[in-house]
Amino acid sequence: MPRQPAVELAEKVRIQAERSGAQEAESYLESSTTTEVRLRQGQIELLHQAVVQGLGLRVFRDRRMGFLYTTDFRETVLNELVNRTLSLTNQATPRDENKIAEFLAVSQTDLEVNDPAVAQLRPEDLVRFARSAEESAFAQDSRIQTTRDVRCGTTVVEIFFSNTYIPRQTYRATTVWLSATPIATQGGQRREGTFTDRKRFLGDLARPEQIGQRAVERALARLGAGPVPSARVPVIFAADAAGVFLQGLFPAFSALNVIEQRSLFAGKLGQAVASPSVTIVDDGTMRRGLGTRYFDGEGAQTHRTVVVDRGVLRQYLHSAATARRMSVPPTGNGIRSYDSLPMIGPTNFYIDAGSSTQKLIEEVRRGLYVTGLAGFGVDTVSGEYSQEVDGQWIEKGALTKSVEGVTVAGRLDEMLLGIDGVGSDLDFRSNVVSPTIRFKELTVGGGA
Amino acid sequence: MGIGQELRDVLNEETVNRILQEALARGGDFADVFAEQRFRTAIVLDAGKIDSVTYGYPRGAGVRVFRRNQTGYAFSDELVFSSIMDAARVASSVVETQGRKNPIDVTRRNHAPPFTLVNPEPLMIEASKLDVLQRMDAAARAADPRIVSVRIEYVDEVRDVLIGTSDGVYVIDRQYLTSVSCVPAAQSGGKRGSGLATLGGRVEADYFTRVSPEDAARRAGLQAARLLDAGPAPAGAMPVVVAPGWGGVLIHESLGHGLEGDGVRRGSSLLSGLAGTRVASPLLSVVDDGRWPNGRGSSTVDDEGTPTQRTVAVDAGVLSSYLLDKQNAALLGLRSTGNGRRMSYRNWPIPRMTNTYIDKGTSDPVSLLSGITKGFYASELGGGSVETTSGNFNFAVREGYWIENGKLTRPVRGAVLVGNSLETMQRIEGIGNDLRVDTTRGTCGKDGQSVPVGVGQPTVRFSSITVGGPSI
Repeated sequence: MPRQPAVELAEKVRIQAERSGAQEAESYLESSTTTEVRLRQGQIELLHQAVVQGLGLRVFRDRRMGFLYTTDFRETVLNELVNRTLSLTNQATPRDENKIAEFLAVSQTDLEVNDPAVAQLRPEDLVRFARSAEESAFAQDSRIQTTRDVRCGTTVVEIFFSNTYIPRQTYRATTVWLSATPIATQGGQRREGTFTDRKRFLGDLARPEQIGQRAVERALARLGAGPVPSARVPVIFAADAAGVFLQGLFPAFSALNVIEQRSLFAGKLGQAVASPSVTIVDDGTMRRGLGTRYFDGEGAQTHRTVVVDRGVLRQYLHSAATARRMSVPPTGNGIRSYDSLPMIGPTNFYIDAGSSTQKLIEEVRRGLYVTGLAGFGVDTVSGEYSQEVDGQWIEKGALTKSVEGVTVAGRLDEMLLGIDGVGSDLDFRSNVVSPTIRFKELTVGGGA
Repeated sequence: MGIGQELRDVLNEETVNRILQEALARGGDFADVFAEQRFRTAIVLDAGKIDSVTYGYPRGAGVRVFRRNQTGYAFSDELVFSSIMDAARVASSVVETQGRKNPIDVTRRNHAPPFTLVNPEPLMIEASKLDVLQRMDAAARAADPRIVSVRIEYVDEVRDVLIGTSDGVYVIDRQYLTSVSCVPAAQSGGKRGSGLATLGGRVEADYFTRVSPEDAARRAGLQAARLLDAGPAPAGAMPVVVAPGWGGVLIHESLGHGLEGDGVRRGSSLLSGLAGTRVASPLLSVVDDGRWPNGRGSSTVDDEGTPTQRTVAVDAGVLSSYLLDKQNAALLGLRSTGNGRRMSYRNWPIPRMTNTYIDKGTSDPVSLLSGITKGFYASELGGGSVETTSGNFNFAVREGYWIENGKLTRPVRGAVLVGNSLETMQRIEGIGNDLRVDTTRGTCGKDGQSVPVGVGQPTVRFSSITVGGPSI
């Protein structure tokens, strides 16, 4: 798929950098094809094809680091960029941790991230899936007269990595997604609902009809919603909302933030940071995982890391540099694209499944069941949490009326220690996911 | 070398005509080609050390075809005529009608820039950029003994664009942008807080001599320290006063996105069909100005080659104009307002805000606090979001104060504020005469595309907004 000269050129440029004064250099070439169609009212609104090829080159000289990225593969341009970058690198501060990986043992097991069936899908196939999803949405309920759109797409990406010590390593990964956003209308009120499925393998993708149906359920559930009075009550985050919350919490586990005192978990290794029902895992090796990869963006092997084990903080997540600074093995969390430096990021990051989901609602006398979170609100430095939410009000163990225009707030440390229930509904439709979780008590900020 | 010369070498008027001809070979109402070349420098200073230095040099070209509401888009990372022709063929495949035979003839247009940068900041030598960062680091640390870390990020870029359209436009533009952010973290007795200062915009090289980077860094340091001592924010609906400047993120989220032509045309925006009607308090006027001096959202032309303009979107409470790109304007029977923007050549243009602000009112800002027995003052906002179908929006407050009996009293830590656009905009009770437009920090994300924007407002008072703190 990549233009062959680019693969050769990426290596040539790296060697050129080494000859021009870089003691170590690393080349990361990303080549991908993305196709997406968007359908609305049965008509194609958008057909998009993106063929991307970009090179990121890190150079190290006397423990100083410089970086360049480009999509321009003309050899003269590349050589000039290398020279400019090397001279800029002289301005950087030497740091002991500026060192590239010296070996890489790539997993010999098939991690199942490449499905040839995904690469073979044509735009007509994507249109067909989107059409079934939209038709099933319209068929559900007469209050669904329109959709914002239905999107179906595929990406095939190939990574080529090499550095001064590690010869070229490569892998190919596929992704397919289908997402529907119907709009429900009733008495002048319009509310949308979105349901997205995303998988590595085509055979794992939910049927289009199911996706349309789930999205409609979400849109309808929001009709007639309004605020509730402010209260301190038990709050349940449904699985998708809990996943969004976990994504917001991720920076607290980044070793760089811990080292620089920008994480509420700094100095908490070995301590209880969540209730014993909570286990949090980052697993870059999970078969068919959306965050699975054979090696990370700087040539470190991926791992399964138990970050929080039954409430106790066991590990932070590392790039090569932070692992060196804290004298621990890297965890394979140096995540990047060709145009960015490796940053500590999640692979497949999740709260492990608990026992029962339905029980979590039934046990609540009066509280809030949150199905949607919006905007920013997780402050992993100060530990404050406050976010716009919508969902359903719980009375005597049952969902009653729809709620929107309210906030939930708390202190993250107290919230995590106060999780008193974890559901069994863990579903990997994203690379950061959670089952339904219940917080013993949060502040709901409502209307007057 | 002249502006856009490398782009012109591949895409002159004649080759652009051929590409557009190819793009419309299967029919379609409109086609454009957009070529771009950026040179980007990024420097990160962390823990007092220059952590990394980056040069980025992305370039490529994309071709779009649309017929009514149908769009085809494809691009090439390779700035080569044959690859761009391939992109034109892929983009054209969305349309399946009879071929168009009219020849295309683009003509070079020159439009007056909103402001001219004689010696733009990104062209400064690297050593003076590093010097600014080191000075900021020292100033932030000196602000308070409880500052434990400082991270400063500097990014600048020079962006050349070349746009050719089937309605005859051929235009070349060069755009400069600089951004600096400084994030000090403070720690004391198990409590942590972070501050934020941002600098930059489309600015001259002498910007850092006119605006003191040390002052900005010191303010961020003081904010981080102040947040250690701040109490919890209140919860519930109450009178809210929002500080001027970056507070304009409020109007950006609450009304701005709903004014964008794509949602309006699809009927999915809550402002669809409301042109000419009252949508807000008569005190409120909202302006989107793509020509605001040094604004992050400013340019000579938008990314479809339309000259930018100052658009009064809400005039004394009445919705007077949507924010439009070419395609949605055509579908609505209107003209583009110069709001067709895109993140890069890899993306098709969509209607976006430029620099959006609440126009100045007549009230003395201090008087806006009087008469409030218990309320919330949002002194510095963070980011926000909106769902344009319902109009439900939120924005984070980084720092606030209690208002008690008409005066600012205790500082409080952040909280999110939430509301519904139309309800909240009816609740405006007063607008100050102290308009400020921020040119340093706005980045707006929509549909996977991030673009730089400006936001602004004077001091604004609302009779009631729901505050999402933990304290009842």
